[in-house]
Amino acid sequence: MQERLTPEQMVTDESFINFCFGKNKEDINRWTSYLAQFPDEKEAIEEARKMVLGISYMFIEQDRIHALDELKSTVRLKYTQNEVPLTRSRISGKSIIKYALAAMLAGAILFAGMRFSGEQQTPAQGADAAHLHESLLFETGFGETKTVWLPDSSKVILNAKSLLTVDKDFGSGNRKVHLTGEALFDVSPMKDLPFLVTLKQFNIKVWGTVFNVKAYEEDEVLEAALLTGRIEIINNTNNNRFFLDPNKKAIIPMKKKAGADTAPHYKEPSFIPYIAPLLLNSKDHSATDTSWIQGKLDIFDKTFEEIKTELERMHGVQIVFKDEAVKQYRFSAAFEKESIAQILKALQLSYPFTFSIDQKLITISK
Amino acid sequence: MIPNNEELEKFYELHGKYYHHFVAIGLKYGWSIEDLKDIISQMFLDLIEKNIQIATIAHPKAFLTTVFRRKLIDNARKNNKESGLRQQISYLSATEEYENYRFEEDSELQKKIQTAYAKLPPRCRKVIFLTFYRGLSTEEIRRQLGLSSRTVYNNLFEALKLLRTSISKRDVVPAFLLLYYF
Repeated sequence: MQERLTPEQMVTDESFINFCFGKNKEDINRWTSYLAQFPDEKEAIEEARKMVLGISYMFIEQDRIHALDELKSTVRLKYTQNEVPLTRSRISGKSIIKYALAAMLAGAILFAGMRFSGEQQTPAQGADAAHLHESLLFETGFGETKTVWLPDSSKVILNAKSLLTVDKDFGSGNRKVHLTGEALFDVSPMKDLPFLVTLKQFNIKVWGTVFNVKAYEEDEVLEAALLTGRIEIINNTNNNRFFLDPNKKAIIPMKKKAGADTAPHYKEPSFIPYIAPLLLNSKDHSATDTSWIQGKLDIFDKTFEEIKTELERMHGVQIVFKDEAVKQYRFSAAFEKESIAQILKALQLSYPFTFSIDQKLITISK
Repeated sequence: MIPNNEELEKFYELHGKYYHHFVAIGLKYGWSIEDLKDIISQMFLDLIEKNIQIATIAHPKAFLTTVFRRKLIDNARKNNKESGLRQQISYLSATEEYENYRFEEDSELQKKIQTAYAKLPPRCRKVIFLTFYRGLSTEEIRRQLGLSSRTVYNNLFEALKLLRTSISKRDVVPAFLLLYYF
């Protein structure tokens, strides 16, 4: 290292950040010898170091406050027993949304205006009686997943853009939750109190089991994939019901295809399920339906149009197709931590299409 | 098993007290601030679940530090963080002298940084966030945002310049820093 550097130049060097964190011996040596070479640069190094530590401190402190609140609500929810009504030590639904929103905002780097001065949101404890019988809400934003422990030790992992409502009497009178979006349920068995997932059109009655439900408002189909145990799917309007066996998945058409009602042979959605076996990942034999838990995206013979919404949810972007033909391209692929740009580049290897990224808007054309 | 309130309060107190300490250890082993938030929460939930009587432990900081280091190793194993894992294991037996680095709170400096950060143009804020919170390299940011390395570098540089100007205003002697210089 021959030339002298300004504090800004130092901070843009990754090795300098490592040096500040005491992370890497080589980097520490590198900057120690820089100081030995230019002893009069001590002040500049100090200034750069102050920036690295100061910025990090800001983020850590921000996290610390949120993490503590989240820890408290998780503990409260997990250990509140049946005889103590959930609602007594409840966290007000609104403040949970606030956390979720706050987390989303932080993720979206929009928290510029937030103050860090320790004005943390404390869950409303002494809420008045009128609010005591509210349900609990858990919400996730774009690209966010969240684990919720229910008081009966059941675990629910919410995928991006989903909302789980826990009934106010959960644990004492019933075990009822409402879902929009996608979630994996690991329900602990309880003979006399069946676990019920209510959806817009269907209910799922659970008898101790692991299953994944995908019921986004905007999706054409509802999907319920059963890994172990047994679930019963009930149509709310006509009370038709059927059981699903393990390693099977029910796919229920919920919506007309966009623009399909103008097509000559258009029929209203039937709500009649068809059952398919679960697709397994060839590498580790895990079900592709639950790969989102590991932040993975497994695509097996899906059209671009079907993949679009998943990508939008995962990456918080909006995708627009310029050409109809592109929508019908079919892909099979598996992604893990790739960025949206990398995913699109990989998909380009199968079909030639072009895309442009402008902030959050992605335009795809032939 | 329901943990009693006193125990829980003790855990919450320790969480608040040593959060920065844990993050400082984790950063050293190559984790990002974002990763560490989850790992720390996970650790506390596990301790509560196992019904550890934290109040009976004479040196909670040393105890929690050991638990935390083990948690880091478990997580590194899970995520196949090979290089980090080796480093973490070799450090596990290391003495406390390795922990000389820590974050000091300087509220004056914090206020300045927060205000300056909030005023940054969004593109600058984004690279600062990705660099420091997510712990991404310029190359990773470039791929994630689909920008050129030059643009990423320029945004970062501009952000740092703006931050530096606002920090150094009326703050000639960075007194608190001298405390932990080497």
